[in-house]
Amino acid sequence: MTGVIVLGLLTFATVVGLHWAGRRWQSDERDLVKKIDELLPQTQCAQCGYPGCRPYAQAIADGQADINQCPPGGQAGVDALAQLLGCESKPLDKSHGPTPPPQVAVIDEDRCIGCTLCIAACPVDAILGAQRQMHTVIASECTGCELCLPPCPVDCIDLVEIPSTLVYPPPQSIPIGIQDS
Amino acid sequence: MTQTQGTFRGGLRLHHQKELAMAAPLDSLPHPKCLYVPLAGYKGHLPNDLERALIVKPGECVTRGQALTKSGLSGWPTVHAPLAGVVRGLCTRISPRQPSIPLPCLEIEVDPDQPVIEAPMDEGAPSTILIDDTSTVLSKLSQMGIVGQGGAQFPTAQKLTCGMAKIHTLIINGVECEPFIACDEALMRRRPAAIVQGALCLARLVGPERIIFAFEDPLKETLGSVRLGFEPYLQHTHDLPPIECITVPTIYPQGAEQQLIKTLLNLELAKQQRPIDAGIVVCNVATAASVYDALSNHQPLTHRIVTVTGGGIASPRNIYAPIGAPISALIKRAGGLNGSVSRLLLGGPLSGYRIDDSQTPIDKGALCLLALSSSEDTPSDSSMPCINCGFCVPVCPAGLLPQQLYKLASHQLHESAQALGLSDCIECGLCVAVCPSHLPLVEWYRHSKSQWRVEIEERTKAETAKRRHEVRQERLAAEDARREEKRQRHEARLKKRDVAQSDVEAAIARAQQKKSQNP
Repeated sequence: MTGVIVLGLLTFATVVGLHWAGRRWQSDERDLVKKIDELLPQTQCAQCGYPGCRPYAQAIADGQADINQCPPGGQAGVDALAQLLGCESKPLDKSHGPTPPPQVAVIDEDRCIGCTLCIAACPVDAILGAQRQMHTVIASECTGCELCLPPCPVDCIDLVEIPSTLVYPPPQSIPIGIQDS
Repeated sequence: MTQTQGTFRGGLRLHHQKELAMAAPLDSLPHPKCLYVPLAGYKGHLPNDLERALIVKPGECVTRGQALTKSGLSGWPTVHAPLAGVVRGLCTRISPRQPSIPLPCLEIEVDPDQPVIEAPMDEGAPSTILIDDTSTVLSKLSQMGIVGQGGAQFPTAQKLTCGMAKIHTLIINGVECEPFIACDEALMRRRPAAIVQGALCLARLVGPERIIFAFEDPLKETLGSVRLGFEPYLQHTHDLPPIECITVPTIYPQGAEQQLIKTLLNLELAKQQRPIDAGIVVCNVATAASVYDALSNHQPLTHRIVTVTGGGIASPRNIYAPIGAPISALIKRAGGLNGSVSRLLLGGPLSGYRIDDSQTPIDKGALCLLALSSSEDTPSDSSMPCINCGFCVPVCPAGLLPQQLYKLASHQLHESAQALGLSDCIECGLCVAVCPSHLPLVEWYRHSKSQWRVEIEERTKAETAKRRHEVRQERLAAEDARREEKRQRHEARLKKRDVAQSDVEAAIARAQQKKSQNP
C-alpha cells in the first residue's frame, strides 16, 4: 500500500514538474524567427516579396514563404537556412532577381534636385539630405538594396560595386580524392 | 654572455644554409630604370584617400629622401623617395602577401646619373643620442617612415605607444632562424655600433628595466661570432641598465616574437595578448639601426638589405637595395636565375610567399628573395590526401592541431577553425615542412584567416543594417501613431455638433475678414 502511494506521489510530482518545465522553457516561435533572421543578409531589399528581412523570416517560420527567395543571400544563404530548418536545400529562385555583387549607392550630386524621395525609400536611413538640398549616401551604412533607384525622378543614383575584400586565394590544387596517374 | 636553458614548445632544428649568401660581400644595387614605391602600410592598410595623401604630382622631380606622402596620418608612416628621379604616377603591382588585391605603388623614373648608394658603415664610435621629448621623437620616427623590418612592417612609433602596461623589457631581436635568410646577419656584421645606439634610443623612449640582445648559437667558424663586433659598444649605456647578450638555440621559429619571449623570459603570452601588453617590446636589429639613422643623421628609411639566395640563383648574396626596386633587378644583380628554379619566394623557404610577377617591388619588410631549385623543393603538384599521421602536431610552435585546422579550412568551415585557435597560427610553415603528403597547409590557413576577417566584417555590417532598420521601423511606427492620434482627436472634436458649428462660423468670419482687408 505504501509503495503504491509513494509511486503515485512520485508520478504526480514528475508530471507536475515536467508540465511546469514545459511551460517555463517552451520553445518560442520568436526564437526561430530570430535564428532565421540572423542568417539573412539584412540588406532589407524586399526582393523576397516581404517588406524586410524580419518579415521574410517570420513568413518562413510560419511556412508561408520558401527558403530560396533571398537573392542577396545567394545559394550559400539558402543552404544555411536549409541546415537550420532541417530540410532539403534547393536552388535559388531566379524569379526574385539575380544575386547582386556587394555594392553601394552613390548619388550624382550635380544632378540631384533634393526631392527627398530616396530618403523615404531607404530602409536603413543611409541617405542624408533635405528639401531642395543636395543628398548624399553614407557609404558605410548603405546595404546596396537598390530601393532608392525607382523613386528617383532624375535617375541620379548609381550602384557602384565595392572592390573585393582582402581574401587570400585558396591553393590551386585541392588535394582531396585520389588522382589518376 | 649567457645561454638560455629552456626553449619553446615545438620547432625544428633545420639546415642553416646562410653561408650561401654570406660567402659574398654585401653588394649594392645599380640603379634600376624605375622604382615602384609601395604605398600600403601594415597588413595592406591604405589611408582613406590615397590621392589626397600624396604630396607629389606626376612629372615632378623628387630628390633622394624626399617625402612623397603627408605625415601625421595615423598608423601610416610617411613614404619617401629612395632615389632622385621623376614621379611617373600611381600604378599597381601584385603583392605576394595579398595576391588578390592590387598593391598601389608610386612609379618613379630613376635619374641614372646619381651615384650608387652603398650600405652605410660604422665609422668609429657613433654619437650618443639623448632624448629630451618623447612625443617629438616618436613623431619623428613616423615622419622618417620607420616600421618594423622583421617582416610585418608595423609602424615603430605606434608599436611603442599602443600598449597600456609599463615596459619592463626591451628585446633586440638578432635571431634570424629561418634557413637561407642572412640579411640581419649581414647588417649585424656591418653596423654593430648603429644597432646598439638605435637600441639605446629605443630604450630611452620606453625606459625598460632590462635590455636584452638575442643572438643565435655562434655557429660561424669562418666568419667569427657576430657578438664580437658588438662587444666594444655594449659598455657605454650611461644612464640605462646594462645590455645583456643572450644566445638562444637555433631552433626554427626562434625569431618569432612569442617564441623568443618564451625562451628568454620563460613567459608564455596569453591568447591574443600582444607582447606590449605584457610590458615587453621586441625590435628587429634592422629597425634599431634605422631608428639610429633617423635620429642621428635625419635619414628616412629608404633602403634595406635583401638576401637573394637559393639553389636557383647563380651567385647568391646580400644586396643593399632601395625600397620599390623590382625583384627582377635584384635577381639580375645576383647573376640571374640558373635555369633549375622550381619556385620563387618572398621570404624564407618555410614562411615565404610565392612570387608570380617579376616586377613585384621589394617593400620595407622584404627579407629575402629565394629561388628554390628543383632539388631543394618538393614538387607542388605532388599533394596527396591527409593520412592523419600527426607529424605536424609536435612541431607546431603554437600548440595547435594543424591537420584538423587544414580539414576545417579546406572545407570552408572558418568559424570552427577559429574555435580551434587558427588565429594563434604564426604561419611558420613547419607543418608543411614535415607533411609527408606535401599539403599546402599554410596557404589554406592564410585563406581561412582572410576569409574569416571578411565574414566578421559582413556580420557586423548586417548587424548594423538590422539595427538601423529596426530603429527606422520604430520611428515610422511612432510617427504613424502620432498622426493617427491627432486625427482621432480632431474627429472627436468635430463630432460635438456645437463645436463643429462654431468652427465653421469662425472659418467663415476669418474668410470674410480677409476678403474685406484685400478687396
